[in-house]
Amino acid sequence: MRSRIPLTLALLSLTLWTAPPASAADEATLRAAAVLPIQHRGQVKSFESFARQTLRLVAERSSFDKRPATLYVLDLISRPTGILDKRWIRLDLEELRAALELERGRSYYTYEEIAPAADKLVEYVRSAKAKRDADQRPSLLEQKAETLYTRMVTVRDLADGTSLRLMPDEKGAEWLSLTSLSNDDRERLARMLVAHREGRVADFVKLAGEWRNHVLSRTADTVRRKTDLEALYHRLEPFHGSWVAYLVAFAAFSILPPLRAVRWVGAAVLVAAFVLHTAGLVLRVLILSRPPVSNMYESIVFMNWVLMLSALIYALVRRQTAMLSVGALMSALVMIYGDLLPMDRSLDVLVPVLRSNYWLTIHVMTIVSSYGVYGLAMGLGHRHLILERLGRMNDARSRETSAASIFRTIQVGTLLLGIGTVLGGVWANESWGRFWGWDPKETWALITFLGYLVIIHLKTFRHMGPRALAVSSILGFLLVLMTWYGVNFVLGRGLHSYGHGSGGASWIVYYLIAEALFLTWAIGLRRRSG
Amino acid sequence: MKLLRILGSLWTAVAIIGTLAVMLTVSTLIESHYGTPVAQRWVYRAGWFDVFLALIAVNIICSTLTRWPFKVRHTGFIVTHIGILMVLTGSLLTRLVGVEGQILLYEGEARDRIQTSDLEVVLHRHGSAVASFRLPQAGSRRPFDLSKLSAGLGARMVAYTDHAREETRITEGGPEAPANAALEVRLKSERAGFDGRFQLVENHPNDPHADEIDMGPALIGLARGLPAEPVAAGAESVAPQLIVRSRADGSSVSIDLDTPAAETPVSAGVIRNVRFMPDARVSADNQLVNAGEAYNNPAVFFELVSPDGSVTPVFRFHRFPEFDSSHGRAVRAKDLEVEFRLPGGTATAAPRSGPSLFFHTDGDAWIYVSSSSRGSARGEVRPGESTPTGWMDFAFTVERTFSRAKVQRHITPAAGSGSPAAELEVLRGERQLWQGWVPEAGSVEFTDGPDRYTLGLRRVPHRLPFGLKLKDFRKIDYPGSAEAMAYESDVVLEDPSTSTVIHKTISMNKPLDYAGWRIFQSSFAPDTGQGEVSIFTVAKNPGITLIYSGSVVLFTGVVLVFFVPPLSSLPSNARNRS
Repeated sequence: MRSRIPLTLALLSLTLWTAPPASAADEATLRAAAVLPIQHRGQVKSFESFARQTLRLVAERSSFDKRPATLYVLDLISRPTGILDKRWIRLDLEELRAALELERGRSYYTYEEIAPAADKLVEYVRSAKAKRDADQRPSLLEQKAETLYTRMVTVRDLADGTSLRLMPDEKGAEWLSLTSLSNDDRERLARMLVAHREGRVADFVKLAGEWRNHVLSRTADTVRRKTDLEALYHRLEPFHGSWVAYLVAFAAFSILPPLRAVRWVGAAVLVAAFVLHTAGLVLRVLILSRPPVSNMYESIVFMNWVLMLSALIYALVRRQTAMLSVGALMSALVMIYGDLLPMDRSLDVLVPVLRSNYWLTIHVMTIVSSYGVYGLAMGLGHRHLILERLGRMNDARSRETSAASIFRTIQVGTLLLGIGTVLGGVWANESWGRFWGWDPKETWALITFLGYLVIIHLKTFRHMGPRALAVSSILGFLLVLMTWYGVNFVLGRGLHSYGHGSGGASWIVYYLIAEALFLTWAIGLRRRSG
Repeated sequence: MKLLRILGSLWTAVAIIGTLAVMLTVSTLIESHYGTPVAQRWVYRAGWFDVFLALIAVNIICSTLTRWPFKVRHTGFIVTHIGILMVLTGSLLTRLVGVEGQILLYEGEARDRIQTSDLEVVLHRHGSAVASFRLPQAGSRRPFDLSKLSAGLGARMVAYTDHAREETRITEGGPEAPANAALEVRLKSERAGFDGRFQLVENHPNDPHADEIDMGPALIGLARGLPAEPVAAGAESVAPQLIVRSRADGSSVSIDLDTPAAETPVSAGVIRNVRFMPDARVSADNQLVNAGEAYNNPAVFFELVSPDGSVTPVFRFHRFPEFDSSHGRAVRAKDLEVEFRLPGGTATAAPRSGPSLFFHTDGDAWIYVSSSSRGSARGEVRPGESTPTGWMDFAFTVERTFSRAKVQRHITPAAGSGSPAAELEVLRGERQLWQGWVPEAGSVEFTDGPDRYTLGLRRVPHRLPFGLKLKDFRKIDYPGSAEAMAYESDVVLEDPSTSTVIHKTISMNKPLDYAGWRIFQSSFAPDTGQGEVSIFTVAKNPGITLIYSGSVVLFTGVVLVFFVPPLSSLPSNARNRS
């Protein structure tokens, strides 16, 4: 029992991991700056969203020099002349550093350091484009050069103020960049930034508030609401908070001593985590005015939410706390995984086909729900194998109960996947007159469906025991991964800049290796002993 | 009975489902490596795939029949399997009698034919009939009977490629060959990272524009006849002149632009009110004004008074001869060819404003003239010698010249890009008349004695029972970008057989339904100067009702099996085994 406590402490210490150390003055500045409206990439958003996106793009970080993104970018733009001399442009490929004749052994460079090699950089970008035009995949060096080029452009636009569209014109139609502001507005803005530069916090907060009201007087009411919601979303960091809480709940259920009080605390934390998780999704829906399945990151968060929801429902209906424990751990792991994968987490929506279409929304949400339910089945499969391997599931009854829960989740998942796939056909037929076109994504959805169909048939006709079912639930999920992720990133020929060999795929490979090792441990060794 | 049990057994079902899953996996890998058309042809649209789907149907029917006599507990099972059969039947119906194709309409245009994705070979005997046949499956050696065109004529597909590359090979013909100038030139620029070879042909059998290549910013061309020596500066005329030539009778007059006569008679009427602007600009209120005396943008304005008294205002620009202000208004003004003669010797009728490189020949000698904003240069063509063009650091090297060029097209399969092509063999009885590649875009010709034939490859057209006309196309972009947010088309559908006329706006997800046909907004093409183009998908999907209702039945059955135990008991044999 005592050995479990350090593990719990380790889990809890994760919460301190990213808590930003902020003084009261910084906090006040951040709150005032966060809600300033800005137009970026064709949409109006909060300054905080803009700053986070900019820092994520340029430095691949959410904070820099111990400053949160908002403050860091605010610091930069209040000293515009210094932007080009800041070492914050990330370049992590040694080969490219060498090719551009940059100083080795660093990951961050200034604009001025890279600028002399701009000709060479543009050459790589051009050859990458030529390859894409010829339907070939650019080399890793060329891909990184493209990224670096985008970073350079972003920094330059920030330095000369063209990307700072902080104020709409008089009609509220077009947002003006720093250079085209009226003299009066430019002076107001300068006063605000100077106040920040000189550390006059109270002045800055007052001027920022005035500036915001001035901007809002020229825009639609939705801008006030949207910027407020975005600030709340960033303040809450709902998905970060919920995975931490899910881990704590898992610890309470499975690691800590099985006391009644501990269980109750665990349940309370789990509910809190789920509420936070739900709140995050709702906030995203409100901010984006669209269902929460518009990009890969959102689909992971939503899949995860369905996973937890079905675990909660099953636990309530069948009175099984094992469900909650597995659900909590799976949710935490999926969310951590979502944080590890290189994905766009921003609040931007750039997918025109997802434009408020009823059938498409239902279709995607149903499919992603099925992934969630399958994910739960996969988690239950792991639990089954671990307990069996550890000799803690010896009686036939507990094996049957566990198998029944796996089977039921697989059934629900298959039903959802089947309906979702047909709904996709309905959408395709309503949109372009073709119910089924053997597109790789729909073909893989069918392959996954067929795979689970085999499991269901074998299990229904009693040709599959509990352990085989547990293994099948894990293998079946590999098909889900292929449909969900693999079709876009592995099969996609040269359409996406990241595929083989870059960040995204490597995490999937680690998962596959871990899973293979796990299955060897769980069944391979077992067979020898049994 | 035993066969029924085997065909309907669980293990057959599992084997079929598993095989299908593996086959589809392989097929997506094929698609990833060899492209969509290959996967479609080898798997999804292949005949054996239909057979496989039929096998699934057989398995389902047999397994259902083995449950006879049905009991209440079989309900879920039977409902599910009936649903699958309905979906399969619907798909088969769509595959067999469904039609899907594209229709491309310019604004104002009407059509009643769609292009399907299937390819067909069209063989045309000149002065006679046309025959066509659908391109067969790859590997099929069965000849097509074309005796409709000529007795005993047949054709056979030898090979097929989705991506063909066309090359033109030029050879020098013998002394009896007709005069046909051609040259191969290489253009290089270090700074622009450009290195390309071009072929220019005076008379290309398939491409009437092979004597000019528009590289975007620059134009390369070939012209017959050596150019006149440039006028030495100030030698001939100091005053700028306008030469007005009549296209109708070839007569020409010259007008002194500094002191124009009040009226100058030409064959199309009388020219008056001549105004010359050495540096024409468009003013804020959209008027053409002169900004100075430097020849930055020489332009002339005059009025053409026709014999019937009507007056046509005419603007002509030295730099933009293709710009014709009188377009559409007066045919007579178009009959006039206007040429500027400006002091300084640089001015003849400039072919165009941008940089250009022209090769002139009289059959023996070759002269190049390269011009750019900084002036023009000319000289004798020396094959193999690199010569600067005057535009950036571009230099050209003429590699070969031909005076009696023979042009042959070579079509070869290529990886990646290009359009489809089929290699065909035309036979009379057993004797081969012709063999070669036929591209989708363009056609090839061959002769058999006195008969001339043209072979082409095209998408099989399908005639619709109605006509579709595009009235207006609109595209709305995301603010501040060129990315389309939405697009829609105003169309008119007319069915003469029922005298139906429907006016409707078609947009994404808002198709037009008519008599079993659905017309969808699928895409658009950017305006290239001839108006906007809207692309529609037109489909008849007769199985869709069966597929929809079958899906509902199927999932009702699945819900019964999973969640209503009394309607989903196991078959007795399975129960016994456990």
